[in-house]
Amino acid sequence: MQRESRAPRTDWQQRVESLGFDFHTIDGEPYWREDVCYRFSADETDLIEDATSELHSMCLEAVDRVVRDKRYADLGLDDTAARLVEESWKSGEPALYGRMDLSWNGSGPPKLLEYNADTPTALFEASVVQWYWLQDVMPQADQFNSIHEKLIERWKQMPTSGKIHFAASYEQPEDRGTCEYLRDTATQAGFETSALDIEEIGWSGKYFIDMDDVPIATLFKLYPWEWLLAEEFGANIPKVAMRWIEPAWKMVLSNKSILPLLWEFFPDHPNLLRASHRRGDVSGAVVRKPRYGREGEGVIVLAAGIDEPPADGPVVYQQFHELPKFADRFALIGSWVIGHEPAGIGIREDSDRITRNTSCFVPHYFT
Amino acid sequence: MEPGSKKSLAVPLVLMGAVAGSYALPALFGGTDVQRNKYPSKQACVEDYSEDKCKQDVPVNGSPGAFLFYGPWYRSDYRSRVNDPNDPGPGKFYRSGASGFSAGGSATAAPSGVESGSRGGFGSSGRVSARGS
Repeated sequence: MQRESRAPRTDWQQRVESLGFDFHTIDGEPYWREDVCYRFSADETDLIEDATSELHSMCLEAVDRVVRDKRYADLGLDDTAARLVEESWKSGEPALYGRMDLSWNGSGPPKLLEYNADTPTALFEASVVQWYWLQDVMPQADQFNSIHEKLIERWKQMPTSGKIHFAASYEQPEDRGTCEYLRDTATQAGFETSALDIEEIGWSGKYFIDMDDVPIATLFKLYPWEWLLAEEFGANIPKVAMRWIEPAWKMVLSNKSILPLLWEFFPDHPNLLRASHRRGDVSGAVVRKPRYGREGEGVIVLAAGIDEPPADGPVVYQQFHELPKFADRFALIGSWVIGHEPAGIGIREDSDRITRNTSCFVPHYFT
Repeated sequence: MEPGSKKSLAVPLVLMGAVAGSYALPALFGGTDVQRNKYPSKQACVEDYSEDKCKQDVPVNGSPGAFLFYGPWYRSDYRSRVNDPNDPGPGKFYRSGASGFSAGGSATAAPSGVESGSRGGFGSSGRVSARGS
């Protein structure tokens, strides 16, 4: 794993915008960077793929154990959420996608930092923009990225008929881009699709409806489950038999409290870091993460013996594992799972050791 | 993918490039209460509104209820609906005050009732935080 400098394509902005990538620059700062890239060997991508596959299998087993042993309290899930998780898991509701954040410097086993299993973003740039970049700059090279093909195949496997509605906060460019890209792949899989803002969803008294008052049968929502359940319409969710993507059982995995459970179920696994709800269980420096934090929000690194500020809610402590640093940038590998298969990676980097929504996306290739 | 390769063979797009930058901002409802009239027949609904505004109830699961036809959704609050020219209103059989609906001299029936609903019950958390991760 190496970081290389490259000359950007002279018309890179025009080229990425022609794909529909309109958030390459955020608040005047670059989000997409192609003046650098990461180079891997084939063996290295195999290793990341194998680790992702193993971790995903462990996560599925963890969900099964949570449901079987009713460990919902460990995850802070109330009775309503627990019932939705249980029903969706036992009925085998299919998942579409997820992104594991891995820390890896090119040697040793990759370490799971968290699993963004419910509402992962940075998808379009990983699946599409870096693929076209590679076609332009070194088409003979390979890339760990079959996300697009696997998404279309996964949609085709969905036991769904009729229209699929896609809902997100459409005024947010990144959410809009992710949701519209997934709608694109569902369209290519043969589905009729329709988009609406999450605020435009209506409740008829019997079912959720779109802007044409049509009942929603299948909803892809780029909106966290815990928010759906906490909001005004949340009480209606258990009343309606409809398909949700991602399914409710993803609440188990998108919750940082899965990290202590994974460590409990698979102690000392080489791809896991020690984690607990009690700081005293994790020696040395730790990373404190809010149970439902997103985009690095509320994440702090605590050196050994240093007092911590009060937390706003439940937190998880995870053994600190420094991200690899190239030049002055910390690099994080986002490893995509489509359905239940590893499908590719996207790399984000930041000058800070905590990756946030302002971190830059950098393409990769391997030889 | 080609054999031995890890990258997609092709990445065609059918929606993304065409719609980039062309999004209209969504209507923000913020918990608006809405309602629609229900009718015992399509004829009754069409007389109150028009054919294109009348819909047969299409439940996601199970069989339809006793009332098969519905008019369009309109805001429950009089003041907010009269300020919106796109709000279809409660129909011509509506009488303000306690009398509610009346068929008057029409041969068809007035609405047999209203169904209450709402929009804007999702989205409040997303206005203050990032949604994706």
